[in-house]
Amino acid sequence: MRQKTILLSLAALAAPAFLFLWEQVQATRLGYQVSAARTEVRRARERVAYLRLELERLNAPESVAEAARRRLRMGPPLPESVVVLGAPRLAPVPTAVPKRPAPAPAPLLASAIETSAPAE
Amino acid sequence: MSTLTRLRLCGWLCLLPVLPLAGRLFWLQLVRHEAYEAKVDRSVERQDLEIIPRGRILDRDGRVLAESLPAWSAFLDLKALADMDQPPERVLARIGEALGLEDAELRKLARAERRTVWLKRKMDYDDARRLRALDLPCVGLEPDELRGYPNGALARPMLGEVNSEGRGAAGLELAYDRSISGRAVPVRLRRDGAGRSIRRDDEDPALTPPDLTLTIDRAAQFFAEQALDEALAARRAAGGVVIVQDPSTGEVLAMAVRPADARRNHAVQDVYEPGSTFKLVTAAAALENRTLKPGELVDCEDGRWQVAPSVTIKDHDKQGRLDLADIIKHSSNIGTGKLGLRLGAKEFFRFSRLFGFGYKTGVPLPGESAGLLPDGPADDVRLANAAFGQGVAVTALQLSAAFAAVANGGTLYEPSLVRAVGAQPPRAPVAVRRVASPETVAGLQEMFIGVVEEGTGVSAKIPGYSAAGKTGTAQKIDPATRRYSATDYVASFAGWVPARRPRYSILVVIDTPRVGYYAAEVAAPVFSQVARRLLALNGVPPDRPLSVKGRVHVENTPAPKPVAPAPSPSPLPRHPSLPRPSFLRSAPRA
Repeated sequence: MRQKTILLSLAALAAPAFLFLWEQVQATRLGYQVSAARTEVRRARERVAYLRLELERLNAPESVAEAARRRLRMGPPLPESVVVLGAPRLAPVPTAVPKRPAPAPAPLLASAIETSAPAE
Repeated sequence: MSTLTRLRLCGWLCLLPVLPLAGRLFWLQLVRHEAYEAKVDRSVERQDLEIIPRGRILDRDGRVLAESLPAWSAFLDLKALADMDQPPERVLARIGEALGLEDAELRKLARAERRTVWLKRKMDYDDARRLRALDLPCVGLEPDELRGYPNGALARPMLGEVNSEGRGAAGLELAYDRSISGRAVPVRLRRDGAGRSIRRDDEDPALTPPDLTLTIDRAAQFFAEQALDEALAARRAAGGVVIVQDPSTGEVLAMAVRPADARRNHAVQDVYEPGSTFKLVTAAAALENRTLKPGELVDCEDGRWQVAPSVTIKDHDKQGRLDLADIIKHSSNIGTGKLGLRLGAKEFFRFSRLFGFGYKTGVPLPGESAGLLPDGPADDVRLANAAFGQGVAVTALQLSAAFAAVANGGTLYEPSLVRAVGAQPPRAPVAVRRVASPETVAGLQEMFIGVVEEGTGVSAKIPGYSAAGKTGTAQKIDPATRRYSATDYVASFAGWVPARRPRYSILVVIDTPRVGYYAAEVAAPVFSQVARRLLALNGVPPDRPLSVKGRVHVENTPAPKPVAPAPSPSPLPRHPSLPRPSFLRSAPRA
């Protein structure tokens, strides 16, 4: 009975020490993992920053205008090519060319901007 | 002694050496734990620097105009290179291949007398990635910073630049350097025997510098720069400025400056003689002071007026007797000069100052000039000249702000370039003062509408929209002779659009054009081009009928009925001394 008590006491003393040791080892191991993850995050952020800047570069008005001109043969719309939806309608000033019959109803977006106008 | 007792004794004897060890362990791990941990920290911990990048500069819609990127500077440890088990030439060849460096250049670096040499400074991500992949112990990477401008040269004179240390050196980069500057933050790292490290500090989001949000609209800036570049090329001009402002707030939407120098902004740092655009001040002062009685005409002397025995002022068109509106419409120097003399120097320069000339506008750009206005009394020649914008000097931004004040009904706003720093709420417009009475401003508006409708500014017309403005063709001083040059001019046009509900106030200045020099020919078409694109881009409804060359725009509706344009929200009262311009009577109801 006495032996059992001694062994249990020793075990009770050793258990927190082992627990402490285990916790320290785990903390160090997790620390390495966190550190590695942080490095990975930092590098991913750096990569994202470069990609975002590249995206901005491609979205720059000059790049877009150049791409529109070269690839799609688009140009700035003429004033009469733009119809502002909801704006009051104004009487057109007649010119020498007679009016054509009204075209068939077009989709809303197509009627908003005529893209057939030649480039300026 | 029984066998059991002997065994127990042996057991205790075996346990005896463990006890001091356990005691010592208890002492080290629990009692002296902190002291020994600190000792270990001192030997395995090191401090590193982490770069917190400089804040971004954004346009009013959050599109990036400037952004800092992480960069790296690579160095070579020559001792570590010599200690490697590979031949140094082979290692150098691998480095050269990764960084795109010549072998000869690397060999020269490797012969240096120092222990470490820089291989490449401010490398981008791809270079750093390739170098890391080599995993060479003789190569190290130091974090650095690279400032990127994704729109290229767009708005660079306004944005400015940063120096090699990453600090603002010009423009907004300099003006807001303290707010958006990046910093190097010390970071504690713990490193074990295998070279693995653990970061001890958490990241502090408060250290990240705020972004700078501008009032600039990237698309408007592009249109302004494109139109200016085309005009400069067509006119073979030395330089120019286009400024677009929102007249209701004073916010600068675009500021195109050529030559595009990141270290110098000609729109705020340089002054020029404004010429006839300065007649704004003379006309405002004459209206406010009722210098002319209702119906009174000024004799414009058939285009030649001897203001002093040796000084003759000329008009480009011979004019007879004109009222104030016609003086402005035909841009008569003689008529304006005579009005200047009737006003007197004190009153004329008081009005000049009311419009903000002679003072800095307060725009947050370094090196702003206040312009040049004569101090004290001025003789007749100087006063008559100043009345039509010669002998005074203004910055382009001052003139733009003055015209924006007339466009918005008479409130001079501080031109603003910065909307917010970080997450702050947008900055409210700063009204400096009222420049004239509502009646005077209404009179000025009518006159400037007349200039575009049937005066010198007809080439500023925009199909479908009404516009108002004033041309200005000023002679430049020849620095060699210190007299006005016969060949060098500054052509300008300042105005706003639409005339009754102004959305944009636009100033165009073309410096020393070589193909044509009259503002009506050189500057006014640029105004029209910029305004047309801005109005179309932002869907501003037309307030005039469209005259279509070659065809008539037909909508998918029955024959449209003429509809009058929406009335101005608060029609401004007309000035009693002004006749109603004829275009208002004869214009078709649109």
